[in-house]
Amino acid sequence: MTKRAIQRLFNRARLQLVSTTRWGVQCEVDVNKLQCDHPVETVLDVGANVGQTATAYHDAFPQAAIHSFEPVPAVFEELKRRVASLSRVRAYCLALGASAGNMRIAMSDSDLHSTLSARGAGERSIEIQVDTLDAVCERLGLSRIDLLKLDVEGYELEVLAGAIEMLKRNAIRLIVAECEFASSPALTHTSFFDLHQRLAPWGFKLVTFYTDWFDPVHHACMGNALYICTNSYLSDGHF
Amino acid sequence: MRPALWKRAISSLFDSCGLEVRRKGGLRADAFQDQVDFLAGKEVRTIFDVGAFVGDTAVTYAKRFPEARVYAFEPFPESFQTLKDRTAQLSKILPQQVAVAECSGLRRLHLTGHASSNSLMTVSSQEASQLDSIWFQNRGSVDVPVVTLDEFCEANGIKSIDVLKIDVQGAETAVLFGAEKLLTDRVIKLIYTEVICSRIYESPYTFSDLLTIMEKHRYRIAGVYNLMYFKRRAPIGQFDVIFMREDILTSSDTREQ
Repeated sequence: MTKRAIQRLFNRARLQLVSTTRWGVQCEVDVNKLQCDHPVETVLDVGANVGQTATAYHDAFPQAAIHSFEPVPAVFEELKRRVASLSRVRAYCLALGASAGNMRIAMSDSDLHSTLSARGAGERSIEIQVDTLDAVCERLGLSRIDLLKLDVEGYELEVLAGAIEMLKRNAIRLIVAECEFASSPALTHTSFFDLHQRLAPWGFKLVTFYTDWFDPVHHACMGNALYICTNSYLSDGHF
Repeated sequence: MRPALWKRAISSLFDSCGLEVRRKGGLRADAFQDQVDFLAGKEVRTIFDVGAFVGDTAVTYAKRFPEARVYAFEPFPESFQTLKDRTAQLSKILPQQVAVAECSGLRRLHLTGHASSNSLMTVSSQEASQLDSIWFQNRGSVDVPVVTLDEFCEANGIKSIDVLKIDVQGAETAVLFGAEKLLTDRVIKLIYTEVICSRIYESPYTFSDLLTIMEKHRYRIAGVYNLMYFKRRAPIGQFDVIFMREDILTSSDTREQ
């Protein structure tokens, strides 16, 4: 009875309730499920913005050290302020890319969707510092990454290009990356097609999609895809 | 500020019960309704249901697209008989007792514990034993005729396919390899296919191969449905996806929100 009433209430408000125990609803829940034998210890949060994900990860992974990367100084300052009270989050004013150096980044009005890729190069741009994921891991002494989050507005494949050593060693267990489920020249984000083709040769298998943001006009546009490196899990016989 | 606060309080209340509140229409639920929506205002006259089994999907299509003819392909004799009997009164459904793959001829159809899992691909005994399910038990094989979609369309004078549904247990990519001409001619509007990621079927094709074909012919993913996991901690076992031809998607951009 009550259940039915709640359901009706939700229907009227055009809302729905979904169980987070289902795959593909909450990334953190799925990651903990996959990592049940090895609690999440090391997380790289690439494209940290102002720390929305870092905060969620801090709650969801109680043993994890979370390294958050945000290259835009103004955004980084806000990130630093917001994660100041979170003891296991470290923030770096740095972009990750295919090679180290300085780069110009195009600034969008909101500063929230700044991107390194050439497409975005526009009127207003600033110079930022770039390093590779491999170099950063070496410097920080990270031999393994349990979860690599990529949300860098179309620059995801470049980050992976700078992570060849880690990928070769099967040292990255899970990758969750933002992508566009499309194949069109107007693409502004990494295409799921490209992401999958890039990850598959390294032994990564698709775990689930987070297709939460369906645009009613353009259908499935954006989402995240969670990948698992089957090479690094082989030993436990689950795959 | 205040509404945000109570919203957050409600979310965390549900969160503690393992539930999440979402706006409706976010998570895709009904793949068939979506196909109707995606093709609204477009002509839908020809639907191919490849791997029709006993006709559930064919009947659904006939209902959702009353103008369309539904060609329902099912090679397994028992399933085909049921399909034929069930749809005898439905003149729009045209059952075809033939398998569809990348080349025509006679091929072995591997039978399993449940006829809906029968496949041109063999079941991996190692994977099947881990699953401990009768669905994938080996029950021998029968020889069945096979056509390619290109040849079938040519022989039957079919110029275009508005909806191509494929559910052939691991041989989905093979069906598309046999539709190279149709894909190149850009006469297939929408493809609704099952994708099997698990290695339960010993298919020479991977999900990457499917994506390669779809990207080559400029299709876009319009929806992902029915995610299924076979093992507790394994990656996704299978799911369904709607691919739409890019130009169809773009031309429907003017649709009302």
